[in-house]
Amino acid sequence: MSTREERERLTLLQGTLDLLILRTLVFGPQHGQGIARAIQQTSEDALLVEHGALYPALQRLEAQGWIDARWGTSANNRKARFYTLTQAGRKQLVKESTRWRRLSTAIGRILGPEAKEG
Amino acid sequence: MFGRKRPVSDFNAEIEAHLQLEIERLKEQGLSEQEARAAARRAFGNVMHAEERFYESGRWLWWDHLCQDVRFGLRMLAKSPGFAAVAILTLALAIGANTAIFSVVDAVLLRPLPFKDPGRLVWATEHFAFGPSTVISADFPAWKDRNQVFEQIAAFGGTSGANLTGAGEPSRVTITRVTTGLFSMLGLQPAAGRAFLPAEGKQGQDKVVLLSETLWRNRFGSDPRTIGETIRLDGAGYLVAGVMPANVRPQADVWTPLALDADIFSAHSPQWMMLAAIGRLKPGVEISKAQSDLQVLTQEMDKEYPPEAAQFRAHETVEVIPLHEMMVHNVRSLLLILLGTVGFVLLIACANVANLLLSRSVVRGRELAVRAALGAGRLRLVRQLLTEALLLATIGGLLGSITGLWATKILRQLIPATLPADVHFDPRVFGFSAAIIALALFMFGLIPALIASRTDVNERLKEGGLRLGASAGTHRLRGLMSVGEIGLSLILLVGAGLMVRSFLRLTEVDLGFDPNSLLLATVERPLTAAFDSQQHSAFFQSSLERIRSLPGVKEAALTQRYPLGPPHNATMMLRVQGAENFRPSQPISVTAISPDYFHVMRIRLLKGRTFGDRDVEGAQKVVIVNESFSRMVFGERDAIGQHIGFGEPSPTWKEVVGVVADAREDALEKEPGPEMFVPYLQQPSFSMTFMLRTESNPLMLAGSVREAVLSIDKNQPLSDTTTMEEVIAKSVAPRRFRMLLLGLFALLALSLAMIGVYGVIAYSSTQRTHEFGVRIALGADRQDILKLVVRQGFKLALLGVTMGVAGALLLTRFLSGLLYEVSPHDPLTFAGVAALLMLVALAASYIPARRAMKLDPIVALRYE
Repeated sequence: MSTREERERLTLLQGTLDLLILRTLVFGPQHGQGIARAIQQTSEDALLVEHGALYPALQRLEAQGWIDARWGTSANNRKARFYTLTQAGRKQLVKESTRWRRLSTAIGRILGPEAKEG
Repeated sequence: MFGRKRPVSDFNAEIEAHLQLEIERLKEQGLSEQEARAAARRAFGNVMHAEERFYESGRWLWWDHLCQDVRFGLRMLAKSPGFAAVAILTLALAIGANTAIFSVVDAVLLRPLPFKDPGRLVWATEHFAFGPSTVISADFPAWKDRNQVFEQIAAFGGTSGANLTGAGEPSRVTITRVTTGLFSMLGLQPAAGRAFLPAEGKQGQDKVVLLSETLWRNRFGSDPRTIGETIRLDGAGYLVAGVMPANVRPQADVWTPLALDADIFSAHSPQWMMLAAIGRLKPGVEISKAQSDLQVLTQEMDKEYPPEAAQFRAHETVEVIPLHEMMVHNVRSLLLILLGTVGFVLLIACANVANLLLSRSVVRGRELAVRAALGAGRLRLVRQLLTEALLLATIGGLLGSITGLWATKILRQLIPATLPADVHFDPRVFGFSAAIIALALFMFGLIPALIASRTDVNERLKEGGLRLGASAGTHRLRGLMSVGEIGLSLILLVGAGLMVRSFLRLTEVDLGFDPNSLLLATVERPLTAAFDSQQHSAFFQSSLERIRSLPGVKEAALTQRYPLGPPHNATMMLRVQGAENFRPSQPISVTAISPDYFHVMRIRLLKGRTFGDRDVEGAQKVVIVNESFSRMVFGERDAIGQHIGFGEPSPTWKEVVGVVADAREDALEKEPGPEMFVPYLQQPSFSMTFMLRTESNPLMLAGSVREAVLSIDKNQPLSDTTTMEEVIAKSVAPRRFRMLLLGLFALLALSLAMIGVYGVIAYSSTQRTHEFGVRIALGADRQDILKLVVRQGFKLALLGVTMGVAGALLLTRFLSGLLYEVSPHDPLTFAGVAALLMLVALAASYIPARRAMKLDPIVALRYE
């Protein structure tokens, strides 16, 4: 049974991870491991996603109806569960990215001067 | 949001696939199989954790928990079957008793009458200064035609017997006469044929009859051809119009229409009929309005009556009450008392189970502490304990409801016969059972669960051993509960004790006659238009001769009415020669008897003589009175030789020739009233009962009496044969039933309370084992230990008894209507019950006390 603290930490991460997953799926269907790898590569290894944390997020997105899942075969002929972005997911992605951009700009403005110095 | 879409295995397969893909990618990068596997796992993080989180995100988690709790609860109950059996049985008994009583309350008090739109049906009656409440037939036409308040008003009455002859052996049937609109007003439809037509409420057209379904089945084999046939009642032919279903009220074997243009409906008729009236109020009319309307009509009628009637009509009043109220008012208080009683039993049972659960939760303190230490939240612990309670409540409740419904078969006799209701399972009864189970669960489940879950894990685990967790608060609560149990059971025992005392008083009543070895056989002659009294007298006389000579018959006599038998008409019209202004203060019953009646009954003759062979038609009219009559009419003067007359405005004088001792006539609990006896040859009756004093078992003679009667008149059935002992048993049966019922519940309460006291004392003396060991080791006398423990029980009992006596003093007055010659505050009963409870409570604490006394100090000190 998880404690309350853990749950709070998760909700903090949640928005970010969800956004990254949705963004990754824009390029087409992908399985869990692929999503993890893609996030890691595109962020040039700056973001390290604990693979295990990915699955509850996928579970949640699926429940929201933003992604669909279907078993399929991977490039190297392995059975894997592939996730696809749904129409609702696309809308959510646009909404979330706009929000995120606004947020990071706002934070960037506040942090602005020091960031340059650093 | 409902249910989990994916099975756990699917999720596990996905994670497995993920790990394989990652391993393969890492191997491509040149890692060995083992290194790749380790790295993949590292990157994934805690696999178990992911799985667990997936599991918990399932929406049916609470269901899984519930299943776990139920399984665990069942295991715990199975582990202590004794505890489970006691708890479940206790609950089943209490809930069963509640369900049973409630289903009767539901049938009698709560459910509407099974008539059309019963809310507007009312019962209307006249009250006279003396005598029964009834509607005098001569008043009814005014009520029917001139009232402003009723949509419809109907009447019935004249319930009597008739000899049904024709097909097969003659039999006796009951007839009720009804106005033609009665059944349709009640919404009762015939099961076959048709109901009465309005035109059949007229003389000349009223020779039609409706059969009851029972009679139709038993006598005519439910043959549809019976309808349209003619049957003979007391020799007169009646056309069978239809068949009425079994639930029809007023009950009878056959119904005939009342012809409203008959003589009895005229104020100048020499005799009237006593009717009962039911009306349907117009919508929106208040009952009080109906009552005043009828009162006015009745007073207007006064003018129409002949002057002789003025006396009896002097103080008449009209009462209108809801029909339902009229039908149930006899049993309402009894049912509410019973409901209260079983409510008390339920409270006691709940306190007991709560006690049991509390002692268990204390014993299980360590287990609970370990669970708490392993991370079970308080809510989870409460839920676990509640589930166990829920299991007990559900099993006990289901068992109880089933047995309760079965028990209603016995309780059915609480339903008045006039009420066409039967006990059956309906949603209200189910709801009531569910509600009391929930209540019980709350009382014995939640409180112990909350107390037990308030665990200080550290303290518990430190304490260890059996001395775990009996906080002072818990113990006080348990003590308090047993005090309450003792108090409640004392109230019930006092109630039952008062009923038993009443019953004993009643069986000790001096009947005034000897009821042993008496056979009663009633014969009702056909009441035909040509009433030939001489012919009836001759029939009865020769039958009596024949019966007297039967082997096994010691003595035999005839009477119009026997003690504790069916009600009998009485007269208010008494004239005393030389005291013309004398008016009796209460009705006087008149009974026609054969000369040896008093001898056969063993009723003592106090003065004068009994009737003899001289007292026949044409001779001087004679009368014998009882002691009460003599006291009421003549006071200190000698009754013998006085002349009285009765029944008519200008009576023939009868000479009082004897005074006999009083006997209980109407009911065992009713003081004998004034009575007159006349020789049946001087005042013949069409209905007489043979009283036979027999040598052995009276019922064995019933067959030969029937044959003797048939040998005189082959068309004459016996309407009833019974023994005097049966008559008495029947007359006290309702009282006996109530006494047994209350007694049963009180004993149940007593035994439950004793289990409670025993539990508390036994538990606390186990708790104090260590202390006792120290005391004994330090030289305490073993008797002192015994006293120590028993004193604790004594305190509980004393407190409980005090509370109970106070409660009983407040509550027993509700019983006063059910008691006979016993005060609701009868000191003997109170003292006896209080003493009994103290004694039993002490006995219950003596057993654990003895155990404590026999402690081996060495063992006790090690006992940790």
